[in-house]
Amino acid sequence: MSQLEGTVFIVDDDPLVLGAVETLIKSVGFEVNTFSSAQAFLESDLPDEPACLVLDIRMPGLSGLDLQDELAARGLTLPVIFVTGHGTVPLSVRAMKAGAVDFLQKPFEDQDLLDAVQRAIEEDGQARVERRETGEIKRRVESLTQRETQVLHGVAEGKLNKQIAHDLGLSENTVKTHRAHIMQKMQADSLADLIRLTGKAGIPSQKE
Amino acid sequence: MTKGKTPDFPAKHPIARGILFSLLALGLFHPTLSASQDTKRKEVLVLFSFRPTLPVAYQWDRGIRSVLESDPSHVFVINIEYLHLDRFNDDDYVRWLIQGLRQKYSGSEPDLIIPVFDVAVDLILRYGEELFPGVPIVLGGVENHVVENRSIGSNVTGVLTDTNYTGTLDLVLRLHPNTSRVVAVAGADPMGRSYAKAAREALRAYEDRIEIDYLIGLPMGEILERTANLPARTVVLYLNVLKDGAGKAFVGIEALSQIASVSSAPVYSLWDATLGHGIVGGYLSCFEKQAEAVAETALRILNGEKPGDISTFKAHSCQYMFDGRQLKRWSIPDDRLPPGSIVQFTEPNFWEQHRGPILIALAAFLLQTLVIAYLMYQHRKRLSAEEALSHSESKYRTVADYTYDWEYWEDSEGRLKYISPSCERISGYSAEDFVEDPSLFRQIIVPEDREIWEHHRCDSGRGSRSESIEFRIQRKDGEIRWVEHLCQAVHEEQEGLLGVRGSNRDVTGRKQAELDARMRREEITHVSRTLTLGEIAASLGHEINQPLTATLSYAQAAKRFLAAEAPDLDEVGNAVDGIVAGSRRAQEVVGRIRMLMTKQAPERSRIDVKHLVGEAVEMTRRTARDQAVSIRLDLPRDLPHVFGDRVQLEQVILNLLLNGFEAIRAAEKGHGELIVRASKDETDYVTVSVEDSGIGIDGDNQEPMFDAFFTTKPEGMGMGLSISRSIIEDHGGRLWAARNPVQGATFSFTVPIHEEDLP
Repeated sequence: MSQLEGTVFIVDDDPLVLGAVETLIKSVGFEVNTFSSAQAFLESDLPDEPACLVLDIRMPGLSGLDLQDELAARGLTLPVIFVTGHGTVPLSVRAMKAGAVDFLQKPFEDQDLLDAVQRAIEEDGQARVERRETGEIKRRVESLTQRETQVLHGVAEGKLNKQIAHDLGLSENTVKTHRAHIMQKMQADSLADLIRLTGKAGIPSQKE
Repeated sequence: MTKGKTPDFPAKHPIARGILFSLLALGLFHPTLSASQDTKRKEVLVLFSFRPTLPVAYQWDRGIRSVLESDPSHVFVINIEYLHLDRFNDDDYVRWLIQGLRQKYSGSEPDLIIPVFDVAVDLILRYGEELFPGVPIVLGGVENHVVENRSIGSNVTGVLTDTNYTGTLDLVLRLHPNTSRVVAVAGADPMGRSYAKAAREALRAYEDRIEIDYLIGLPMGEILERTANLPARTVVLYLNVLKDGAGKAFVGIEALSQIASVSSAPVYSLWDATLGHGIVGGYLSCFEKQAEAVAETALRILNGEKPGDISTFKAHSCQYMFDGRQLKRWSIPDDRLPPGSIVQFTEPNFWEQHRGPILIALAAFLLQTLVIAYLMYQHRKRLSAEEALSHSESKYRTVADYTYDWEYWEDSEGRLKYISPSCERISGYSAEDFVEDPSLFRQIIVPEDREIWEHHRCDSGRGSRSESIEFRIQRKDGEIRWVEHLCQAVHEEQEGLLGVRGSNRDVTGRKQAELDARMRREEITHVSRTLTLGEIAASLGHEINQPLTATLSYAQAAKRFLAAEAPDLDEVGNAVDGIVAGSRRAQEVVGRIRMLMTKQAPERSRIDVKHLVGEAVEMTRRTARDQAVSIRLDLPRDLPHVFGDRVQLEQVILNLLLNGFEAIRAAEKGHGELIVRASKDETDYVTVSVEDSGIGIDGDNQEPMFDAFFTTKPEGMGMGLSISRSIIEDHGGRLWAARNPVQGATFSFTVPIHEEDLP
């Protein structure tokens, strides 16, 4: 069985169901960690690889929805899949609005769950990559000098070198030099690339 | 002698008659006048030798008078002449005396003369004939020798003194056996000398045994000196001292006293007059008795006997007499005294002296003691009662104070007299708070419950208790507690209403439990009523879901494992185990459903179907109203009772009704009608049917309806009909449905009438 990248966390207070879902997910090669309460899950450490959370709603103590809120409050962007015996429309709407990947009713079709898990893992993987990237970009931006940052802002806003030089009280040549440094530090291939990067870093691209 | 003749009364003169009568009366009653006829008047002249103040004078006076005056046939005039011959005895005096007597009695010659003691006797014997010739003489108080060698006339007789020297001396020797000497003391006067002489004669016989000294006529000083220094084993015999050797005159008793007080030896004497003046005692002669004897002799003579015919005789007057003080002084034991002894002056017997006052004092003291004892007892009793009371009070106070309940006592005016400290534990307010503010209690009662408090009474009859009431109070900290209150009016036999005793108990726990139990009961009832409805379906649905999910997941996992190139058979095995586990769980759930449905023990009883239908319809009233469904009942009055489980059958009816509502709603007409019918058919079964105006049922598709989980409702679980059918079948009946001709469906079921028809 090929190991797929990613860990699936399952939280359900019913050990029978917990065991069954675990087995099912394992059967497609995912790594599984089980918890019988939301509290137990919160106290554990998250791995540094793509992961997702399969969650029952009605549990003693912290409910599934409470856990979802708690994760959001902690800023953890773990994708969540709800699997529940109590499926009502308002409940499912709420869960989805809060960002759940999927909301399944018991008894569910195995494929439905597995697909959702797949999606969730991919999503989480994606998100991780994105985060890393953004982190890297930000780091690059922070490595710029103050002048360079100012120039960068100007470039992001689409200003000409001449304009930037005027705004900052520099010679055009200086600006050009700065731009070259910026390109280097930001590891951008082209202007368009730079703009893209600055966008990711959260630097406004147009005067707003 | 005959009484005087009564003089004739001059009948005509009342005054004269009166006077005569008076005189007569006088005459009858006046003793003297009477006497002159009947009783003799005699004059007796007593010639006493000495002065009148001597004790012996009284004795002679008393003795003579007592005899003479007791004689009824005479009236005696007793003249006593005290001759003072103890003091004066010279011839001139004597002559004067005689002269005086002659003159005094010249007019009234005595009828008898009694000379007493030597000198008077001597005088009379010498001058008697001269003075009072022929008058009889009875002499007294003299010794024999005075008359012995004398010629006394035939008109003389007498009673000799019985002064007994030997008697006393024998007594002395008896009481003092070691006596070796007797000292006899007498004065220089004739009497003393006379006694001495008589003594010498009488005691001669003793002189070989003991020494007898005679101190006669010595001056008093010497007498005293001698008697004070007497050798041992001596006894003094006092004879009489009227004049001592120095010529000093004495009262005999006086002299005796002096001697006796200094004497170193016991003093005895011979006459009773001396007793008490210092002598121990003696065989004492009594002058009074002698006097009596003399007087008796005088009486005899005055009654006619001739003196000469009566020979002089000795009186019998002697007695053993003792002075108790002297007995004690000389340590003479009582048992040595001769039998019949008279002991006088027994010592201050404070007791004997003051017997009366002592007895009274004693009695008073005793009474006082009794009173005190009684008072003390009462006091003690009261103290102990008070103590017991305070002890019991403190005991009860302890009990009361420590009582877990809040108890209080109000007097007959409703004032709070006592409140136990538990009030604070229960209400949060202290006892002081309640005492200060009498309305506090009512205030803390929750407003809605105040009426309960207002209406209750504590005075429901004697001895009976009021009903307990319950109400809520708000504690000081705001918390609401339930309180059970009980009070009792206390009545006393005589005093009427004493007060009211009350107690309050925090029963919040119990109340809560009651409420919980009731709620649970209602819940259970409600639950069991709605057992066939969506609620149980939903919860059981979830319960079934879990094992179903697990089973499905395990099975699907197994398939995947098996589909791999190299199936992990361990995992497959694990999955299959899971499938089994899931199925088992599902089994349990189904079992529980059944149990919930049927309850532990179906209670079978006679049921009035009309009642059941009525109740079920009542429960759906709101639903009917909400959905604008009218319900019509067609229940014959004579419908027989059926046998079965009331709750279950009601559930079935409810289920059918609710299904009817569902059907009507599904028809979406906005209104509808349900008709419930009941009837008895030819078999012994009652048929109940519910007809609705709903969407009806598929004619061909009836049976699947009754299967579990069959439902046409998107949300329903379809348990109701299945359970209902189970119930009816358990009752031995049938449940079926039929399509109505026009609109809707009719569901019917049968239930047996007879218990025997139940499975």
